[in-house]
Amino acid sequence: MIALTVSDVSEPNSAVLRISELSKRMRTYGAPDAICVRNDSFAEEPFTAMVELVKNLWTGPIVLESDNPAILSRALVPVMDRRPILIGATGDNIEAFSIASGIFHCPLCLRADDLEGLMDLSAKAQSLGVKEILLEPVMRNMKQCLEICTDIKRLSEVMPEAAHPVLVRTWSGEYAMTMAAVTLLVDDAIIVADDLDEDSCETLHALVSSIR
Amino acid sequence: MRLPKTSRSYPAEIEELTIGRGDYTVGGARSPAFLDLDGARHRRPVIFGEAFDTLDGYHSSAASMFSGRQTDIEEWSVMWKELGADGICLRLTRDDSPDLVRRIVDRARIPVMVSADTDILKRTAETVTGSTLVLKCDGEEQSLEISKCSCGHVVVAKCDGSSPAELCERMMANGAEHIMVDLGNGRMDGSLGELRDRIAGYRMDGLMGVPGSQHTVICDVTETWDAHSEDVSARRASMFEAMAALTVMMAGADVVVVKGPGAADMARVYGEELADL
Repeated sequence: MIALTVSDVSEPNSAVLRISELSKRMRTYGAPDAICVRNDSFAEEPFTAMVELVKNLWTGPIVLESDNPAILSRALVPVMDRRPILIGATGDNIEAFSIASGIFHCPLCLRADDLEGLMDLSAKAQSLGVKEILLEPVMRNMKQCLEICTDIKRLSEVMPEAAHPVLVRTWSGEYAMTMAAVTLLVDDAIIVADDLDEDSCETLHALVSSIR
Repeated sequence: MRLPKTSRSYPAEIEELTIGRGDYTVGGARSPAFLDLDGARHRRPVIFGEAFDTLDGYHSSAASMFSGRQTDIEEWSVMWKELGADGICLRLTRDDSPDLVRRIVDRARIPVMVSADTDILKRTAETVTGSTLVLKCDGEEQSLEISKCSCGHVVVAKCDGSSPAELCERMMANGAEHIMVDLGNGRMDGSLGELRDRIAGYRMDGLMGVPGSQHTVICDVTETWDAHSEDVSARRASMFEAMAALTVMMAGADVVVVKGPGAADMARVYGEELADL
């Protein structure tokens, strides 16, 4: 899955244009195949409104990203049947995020700065009853993508805490495309990028189609 | 939580080859490509840019990137050096090719690879001294034939579906001293995944010490351009080519041949960053 981001601070008209543009890229180039709605406003109302908008205009998978589990839970209600991936769970809010994941039956993405912390978080989420876990290690460049994704892949052979899909959060532009490509080549990860242009979307989609 | 150690070690290393005037070393890997977790040698794959002695059938979008210098293969070769390529892959058809290669070797002073018919390859191998060429064969038959008269140059073992170890053994029996293995061309289609598996498998066999599997690997990704029509933007075609290059480099290719300068630049930068240079 390759998801591109729509921010909840976007003006409604520009958000409609953005979603329409992403839908066109999906039809033309095969990517993105998901949209991530990000809670940049840190407020409930714009986030909920943007989730509603995406729900109405986008038929593919949805990812919701917020640091605040309360805001995320309320915005989640109208799209709960689409089972969005929830991003934002860390060591500070894992309990509340686990409850939201359990109530709405949504996959939960866990974020930590290092692998030890990520495995601790994974164990805790499992103990709190989270059924579908994704791991989001913090990675700043393509070298770290290679090393950390390989490490997780090998850990998954011996540790149940590591045996979950990896999600990579990246930025925009050609470097983001390369980060995504490295991740896809090491592990069949889920990519969430701020933005990728048409050429990058087509290239990544062609790569995914070629190696699967 | 205390995590188990995931680093691995391997009983063997990939062979090292010196090409050009002795200033370029390829191979020598002791881990899967770029992987510091397993103690990677910090060395990136080398990137060769291709140049032709005729532009018949050459992709017009690719031609647009060489500022007209592609009409003269010597100028084109020098341009590849100016663009930062590690080497030049010459695709030759003319009878005077051996002298042409000698002139390009002297002018460009970077490693040269030659792709041509068997007669041209033989005469070029005899003509060029003082610089180790890579003789890029296009089939098993040519690999075996050129092995008989490689004059110390590197001969590419073009594996057309046969066992690389067996072909290399036969080439060595024919007299080849230095061999690079070609497990197929990189294209952005369903064959790329299989090629990646073949390269990674061969590399792992080499690291595990399987006899005949320690040779360096070359991969030509120029065919990625064939997926596009003539009016494709150079940027898009270059991104496809760069992704194919990245795929085979991460699988373990030591030498990559590209068509466009954009892809050459991206592949070099990717290699430098992944090798932590």
